[in-house]
Amino acid sequence: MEPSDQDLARAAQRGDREAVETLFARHWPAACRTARLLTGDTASAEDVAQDALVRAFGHLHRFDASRPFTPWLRRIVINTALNHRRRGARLVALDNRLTAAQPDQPTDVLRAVERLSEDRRVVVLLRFGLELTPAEIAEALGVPVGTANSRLARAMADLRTELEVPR
Amino acid sequence: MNLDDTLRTALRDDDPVDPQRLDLALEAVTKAAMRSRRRGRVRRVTSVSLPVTGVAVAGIGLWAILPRGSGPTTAPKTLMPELRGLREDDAWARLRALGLFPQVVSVRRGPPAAGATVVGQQPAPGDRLPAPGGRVRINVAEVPLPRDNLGDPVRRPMSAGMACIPASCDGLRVAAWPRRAAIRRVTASIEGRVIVLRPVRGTDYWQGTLSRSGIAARLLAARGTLDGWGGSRPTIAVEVRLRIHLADGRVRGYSSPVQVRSGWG
Repeated sequence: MEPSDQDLARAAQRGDREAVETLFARHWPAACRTARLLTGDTASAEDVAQDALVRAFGHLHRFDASRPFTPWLRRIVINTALNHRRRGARLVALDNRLTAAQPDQPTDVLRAVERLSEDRRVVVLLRFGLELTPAEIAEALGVPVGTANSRLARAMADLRTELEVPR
Repeated sequence: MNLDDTLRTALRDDDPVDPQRLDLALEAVTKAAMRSRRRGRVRRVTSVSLPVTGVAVAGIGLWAILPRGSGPTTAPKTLMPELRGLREDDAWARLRALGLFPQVVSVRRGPPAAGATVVGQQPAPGDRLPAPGGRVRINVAEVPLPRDNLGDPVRRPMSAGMACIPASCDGLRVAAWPRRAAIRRVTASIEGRVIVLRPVRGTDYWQGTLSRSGIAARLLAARGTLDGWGGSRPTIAVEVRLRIHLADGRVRGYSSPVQVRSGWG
């Protein structure tokens, strides 16, 4: 049976390199995907993911191994990506995502998502890009579940108006 | 299709993971985890240190007055030796003598080759030696490295700077980095087909496919901009490092001496 993330985190806290490598291999793809989604910048997403994982593993001694590892790491990746996006005023997130869009991906929807306020855009990205539940979104953003739900509802209302989608 | 499904389609992400970038990230993450472990140890030691302070003081006093022999130090045996530059089979022999197992990465796996040279290692030289039976990663180059042709392009005329960049670097893909407010280190590196440049205020960032002359020009330009900063910040550490791991039967691995550290007080 494969060791759980928590077992691996405990081993990594004791300095087990193989445990670090296994944890890294498990979570690197998701971290990249999260960073790509939230920054919208394909070129620097892997750098953001690396920064986030370095930060997380650099503070592994503070991780409470009795708690789930994935939400803890996801929150660090999300915060790092959002900070990166806030700092990088030059980022051309929309352009990058639009350029990288596949022919069957609706670019008008991407444009509408980019025009949302940050709070609402993030919940939409986490909900539909990463398929997180409202409870997981709330945990990742450090807000009550009700707040995550209301942000999502308002974001969807904004998008329906913008895209002229009937309710 | 309703709005939910439209959003899922629009935000779909099929980009594959870049395996070369994965290696780079793993190296950085492993180092961070090991630092974390040391910090965790320090915290634990600190938390129990107060009750034993008296014992420690007494112990130090005893140590100071007791006669001691001049036994050999064990420090060198606990640190990783420098393997880079060794022939691969020599590196294997050296590691096996330390009870360690080489793991060849990046180029190939298999028995050691007489003609190959070690161009990278993890743990780095001087790092703590793994426990007996532990793994040491080594990067090897199958062909003799053109060390004589590679030098430091910084502060050289354009033509000389270009000579420092292997011709096989033509067509490298360059990734742009975002600006950051506080810059303490600049690293330009070539890993596989990706160049990463940490940002510097006043430097133009780039993205796209570069020619060899483009790489040289940009390395030189980055340095030129940094030179213009002299004295404007208390301390600026600059490191320009060129690491090349190319394929196509030419240079397949390289950790070059292109490394510049500067500081302005």
